[in-house]
Amino acid sequence: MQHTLRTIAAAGALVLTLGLSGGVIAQETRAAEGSPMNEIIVGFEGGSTSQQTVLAESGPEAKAESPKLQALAAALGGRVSLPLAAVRPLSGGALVVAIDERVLARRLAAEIEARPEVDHVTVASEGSDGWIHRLTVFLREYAGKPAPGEDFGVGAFGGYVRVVEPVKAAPEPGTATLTVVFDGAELVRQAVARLKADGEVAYAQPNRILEAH
Amino acid sequence: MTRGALRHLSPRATAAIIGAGAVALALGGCETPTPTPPPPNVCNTGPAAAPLATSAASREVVSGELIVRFRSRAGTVSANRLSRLKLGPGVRPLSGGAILVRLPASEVGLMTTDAARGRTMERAAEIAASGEVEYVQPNYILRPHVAPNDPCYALQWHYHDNGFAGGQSPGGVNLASAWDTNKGSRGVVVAVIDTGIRPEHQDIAPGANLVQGYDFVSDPTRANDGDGRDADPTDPGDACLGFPDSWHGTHVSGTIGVVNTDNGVGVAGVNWEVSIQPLRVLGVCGGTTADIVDAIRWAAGLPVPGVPNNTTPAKVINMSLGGGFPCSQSPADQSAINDAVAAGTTVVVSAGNDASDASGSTPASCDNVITVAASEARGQLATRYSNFGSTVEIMAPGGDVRRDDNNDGQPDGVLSTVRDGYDWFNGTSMASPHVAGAAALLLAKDGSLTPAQVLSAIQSNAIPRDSSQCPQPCGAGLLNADFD
Repeated sequence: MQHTLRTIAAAGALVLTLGLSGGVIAQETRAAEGSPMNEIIVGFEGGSTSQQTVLAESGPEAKAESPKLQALAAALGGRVSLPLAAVRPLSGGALVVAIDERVLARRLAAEIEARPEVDHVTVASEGSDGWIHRLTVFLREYAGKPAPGEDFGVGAFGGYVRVVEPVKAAPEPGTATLTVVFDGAELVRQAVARLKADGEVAYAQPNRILEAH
Repeated sequence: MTRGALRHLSPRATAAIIGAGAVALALGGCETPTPTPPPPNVCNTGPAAAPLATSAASREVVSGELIVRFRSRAGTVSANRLSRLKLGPGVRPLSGGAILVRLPASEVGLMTTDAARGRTMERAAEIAASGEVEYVQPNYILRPHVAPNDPCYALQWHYHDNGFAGGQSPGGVNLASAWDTNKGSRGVVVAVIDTGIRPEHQDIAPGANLVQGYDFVSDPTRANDGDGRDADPTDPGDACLGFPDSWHGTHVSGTIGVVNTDNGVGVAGVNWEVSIQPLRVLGVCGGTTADIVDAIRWAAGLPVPGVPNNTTPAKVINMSLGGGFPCSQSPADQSAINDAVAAGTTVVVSAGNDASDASGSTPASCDNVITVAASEARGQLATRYSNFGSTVEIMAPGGDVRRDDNNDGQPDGVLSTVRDGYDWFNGTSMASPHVAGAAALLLAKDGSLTPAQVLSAIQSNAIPRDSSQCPQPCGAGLLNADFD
């Protein structure tokens, strides 16, 4: 996974725009200054299978693309219900993983698409590594529902999805838009909490940004 | 004197402007930092600006000899008087009415040096208590300080002997005395985990005090050098969000001693001889925990995935960096520090520049580190910005570029190297390398010292501070780098 300045300096959250019947809403940037990137450092219990795997892939020629590390991250992600990718092995037998937001956005789109009033959802990713994922929801038949002011029930999609702007009528007759925020900091917090509960994980923490004093 | 614009070293510091972080001033006394190329200035050539006083810092005495001035100085000091005080023959008159007397050979002649010195001090106390003398003191052995000839050394108040006499500074850490017997050793490697180094600097090249470092910045965009990790720790700049490059690592390394001290150019460092290992972790807008913990372990000679092994492991690590969260929330940092200390490496860190308790900062609040608060030129806690608290072990000069308490016409920052010249910075970033440098001096004398022993030596040797000098906890006091 590529890492760019998006993780360094930009603002608070990843925005998903749900454009009901084609409505397009503004985008935002993510990650308040000083807040963690979407990377997580995972330390494993000594002697665990996971730690053994990392140590075996941690020589001087170690590569992040190691299939074994990617498989480990995927398995770990499966256990915490979040798409995780290995970034690189770390000294001390730890592993840096990243939340694959592109996969997460597609997963969210699929969940939205499963709603009966939705015809289909498109995902438009912007940025060199897809750091903004705009979800446009096309309603099968819009008849005033959801009504203006509703949140489209996005809370059900995960605590890291927050409503920025409730449903409102769009300029085109019979359409409406809804904007939700894909909160990166909250996403990392939830991921860390879930990882800490895993039996093979000794610790998990955000890969934070430190500065010169 | 021309004062340049304030330079902010971190985006977080920008909110508080001067209240936090290190700032650099472009001043007439030394070269001006970027963006404009600096003109030649007084740091480039010329003799050392200030001769230094001799002192009795080593506290050596001539065993058995005392200088005495009796209350009644009329006439010759009688043999009876000397006998009454159990002083031997060999009296020699001194200027000012004092006399040099010698204890009987039977009293000190067969003693070891330390015992004879102790006996001499005891007898001085006895004679003082007799009421017959105005004063009595040992005949101290003084030596001329080996003052470096770097032209801007006189402006480096932070290195001078501690005191108020000529050539001294109340904020100094007694390096002038320390250098009499210990200038460091290139056998001691100090890893500087920071923004990297500018090895071509006129006061650093050809790099006699440098050993191979590494660039641990894994994100190519943050790295600003076109790639991720590599073996070149050269600092390409870390400009962030409109703020200019800091050359922070070059400044910190200069203080510890990467500069060529006593070369007639620029500034001095804490160590005249040392091996600085620049480990680059801070790039554009900072650095990540993952890169930093790898650098910590690599510095200590421990393996890091994807990186060749360190063939010159460090005995000391300096980290003038941090984040605003407690170490309890960063087990990766604590784990790496524990591993480094277990490998015998002393880890020195800055307390932080938030003028708050250092317990909320990492790595300042981690266990097994020497956390350093900052003092200013008066030798007091730099309350304007320095963190403090129970996690602080020691205080050292971090300076204050807003003050000129020593009236030298220059800001009271810490003077060291930047890309093309020299600058005054202030911050706990500047305090930490004084302590890391002092640790290197200790290890130059005894390379077997453990990190715990290094901490103990530094704390037990500190210059005590009272509550007016440290209104908040500042550890054992002000660093005293003269360990003799």
